[in-house]
Amino acid sequence: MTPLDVLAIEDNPGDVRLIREALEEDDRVRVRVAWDGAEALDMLEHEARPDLILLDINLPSVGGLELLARMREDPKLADIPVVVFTSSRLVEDVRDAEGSGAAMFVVKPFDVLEYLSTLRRIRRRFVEEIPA
Amino acid sequence: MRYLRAQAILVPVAGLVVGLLLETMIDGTGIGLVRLGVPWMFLMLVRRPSAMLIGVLTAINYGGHLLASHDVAFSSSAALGDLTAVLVSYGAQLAWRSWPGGIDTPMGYMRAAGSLTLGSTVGAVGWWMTMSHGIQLPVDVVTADVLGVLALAPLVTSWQRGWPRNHPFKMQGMLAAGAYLLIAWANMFPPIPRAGRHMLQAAALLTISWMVLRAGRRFTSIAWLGSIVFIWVGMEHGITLLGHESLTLEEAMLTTRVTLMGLGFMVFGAVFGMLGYQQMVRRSAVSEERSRAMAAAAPDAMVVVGLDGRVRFANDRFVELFGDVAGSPLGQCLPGIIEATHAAEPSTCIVVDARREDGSEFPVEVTSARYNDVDGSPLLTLSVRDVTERREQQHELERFASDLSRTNKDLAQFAYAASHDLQEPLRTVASYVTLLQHRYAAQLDATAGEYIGLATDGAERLQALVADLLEYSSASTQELGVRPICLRAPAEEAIGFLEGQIRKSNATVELGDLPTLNGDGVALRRIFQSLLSNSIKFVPEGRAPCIRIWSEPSPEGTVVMVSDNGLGIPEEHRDQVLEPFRRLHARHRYAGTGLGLAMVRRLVERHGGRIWIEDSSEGGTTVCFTLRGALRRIA
Repeated sequence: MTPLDVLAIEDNPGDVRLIREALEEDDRVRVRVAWDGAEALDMLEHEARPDLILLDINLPSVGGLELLARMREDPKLADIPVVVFTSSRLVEDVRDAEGSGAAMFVVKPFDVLEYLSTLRRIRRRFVEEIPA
Repeated sequence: MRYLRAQAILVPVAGLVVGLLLETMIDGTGIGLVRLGVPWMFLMLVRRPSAMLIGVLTAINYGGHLLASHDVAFSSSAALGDLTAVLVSYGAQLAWRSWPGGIDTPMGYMRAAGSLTLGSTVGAVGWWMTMSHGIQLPVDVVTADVLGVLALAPLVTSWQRGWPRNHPFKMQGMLAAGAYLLIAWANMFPPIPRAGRHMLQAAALLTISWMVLRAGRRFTSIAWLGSIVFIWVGMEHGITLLGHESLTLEEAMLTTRVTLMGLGFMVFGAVFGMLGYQQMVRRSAVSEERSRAMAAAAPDAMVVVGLDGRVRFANDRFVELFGDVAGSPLGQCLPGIIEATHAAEPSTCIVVDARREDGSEFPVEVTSARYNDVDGSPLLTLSVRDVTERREQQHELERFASDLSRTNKDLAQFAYAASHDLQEPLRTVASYVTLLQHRYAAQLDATAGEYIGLATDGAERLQALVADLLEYSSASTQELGVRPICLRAPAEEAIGFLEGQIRKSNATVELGDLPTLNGDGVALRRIFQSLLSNSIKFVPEGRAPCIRIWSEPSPEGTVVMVSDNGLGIPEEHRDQVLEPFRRLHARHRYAGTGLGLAMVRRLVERHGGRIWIEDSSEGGTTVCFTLRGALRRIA
């Protein structure tokens, strides 16, 4: 059984650690990390296609939304499920995230325990969906 | 000058010619007009002393007497006597140097009459003594001379001053001269029967009186009338007596006394008239001086222009700005201004471009007023202000305002960006401290737990602050999308957002009449949410918050009110509390970052409205705000 290949595009090392912890609890999941949008595009271009992308849209340089739009344009990448995370609670930003066309969007909770359980929920949802 | 010299000779010549004509028609009638000689010569001398003029006029006088009386001795002595009279008069005129010169001032007028009275009396006395005529003739002569100077002086003055044809004083002068001539002629050698003579004299008297009354000097006219009546009576008496060869001293004295009384009246009347006139002239001079002084002191350039568009008067400031423009057309420094002032409302400012001597242009503000000249012609007076500096200052101010607005926007954007970027690291700190507490609880003692607890609190507070700062700065930087919104919608939305808090505190929120106004939906929701949140939070322990939201009309637009039954805000703090980071209560009692009301104020002001705080009827706070239709451009 192939592992669930998750690409996390996240610039906060603290969050990366939590993502790895929550997702790799299940042995079937493997997490790769891109620290910014440019690196992400590079990895998508040259490395294996991931099964799931976790995207923090508040990325510096190439914005998360812009990255998403670019992915949509590329037919190879267009159908990869994306979970969008936003740390800003501003209604404007939330609306942007909502309308991005992602499979799911999450406002990163302040409470770390809640964040971890959300990540686990995401893991369980997508692990179940992997074709055996 | 030349003009006046010609007149100086022409007038007595004309008198002579007419007199001679009359003489040829009716014997003895012409001499009256020759009597014009003395006052005329005197007036001309006062105007401009000239030996040639004396010579010519004396010759005319002698010739006239000769032709009229055919008596050489009589004519020579008459001419000599007249010359003496004139010279003595002129001498008196010069001697009284303390009195103003010329005859075109009231005091000068008086001086002339006085001088001539003296001179004429001297001449007449001399004549009387040499010629052994009755005293009546010299007295008549003196009277005639003085009357002559009083009547002719206004005419000469009007010539000197160059008054226009229809100037009232000129008219009066001519009428007076005519009336005088009539009296003089009728009195001196009357060929007409007594009744006719009286009528002529009466007519002449009435004319003079009317002239003086018209000039408004009532007292003078009454005095003149009175004096002339006396003179007339005196002369009548004298002429009747002339018929008899001998004249007793008493009769002579009576005649003299009556005549002198008449003369006295005349002088008296003239003095009063002159004093009144003098006062009028002085007032007018003061008024003119005042205008001149005001024009000189005025900070603005002032100019008076006639119908023809030429400059009649320009004050110093005008000359400074445009150079010496007297007499030049105004259009060369203020093109088109006269048409513009005609077109504009009176007392409005017109801004036009003025042109300097060197051709360079600059903006000016012009106000105008009209008035009429002495002769009735319309004049336009303009006040011109150089507004170059003001325009520059205006531009400066606009630049400054736009710079300020840009700076504000930059600051707000910076705060926004900073808060944005602060959130993530802050979350990380809070997260791992919590995990530490959670996962290492067993290894940590009570103190460590306490430390971690305090660290967590600090982190949480910081997170709240950053979140609020983000909201606050977003209130300044986010674009507002204005459309008509029924305020009920954002209010209900805000209530929805605060559902949890409302439930927990058992709060009740009542929505009253709310208008439909132009505004941004999100901004309005934020406003209501912040105000409601405050009302829920700032209540005394144990009290359930009761909040009312409604609106009232007012002269400045609809006022929206959010009223509660909470702690209230004391009057001295009401302005402060709208500032950022201002809190009234200790942190441990009531949490909060002090940014809520500041954000609300920002949003209200960006809508062009106003926010203020009042007491509520339940002892709490009422926050009132207005929203205008248009949004201000300044962020």
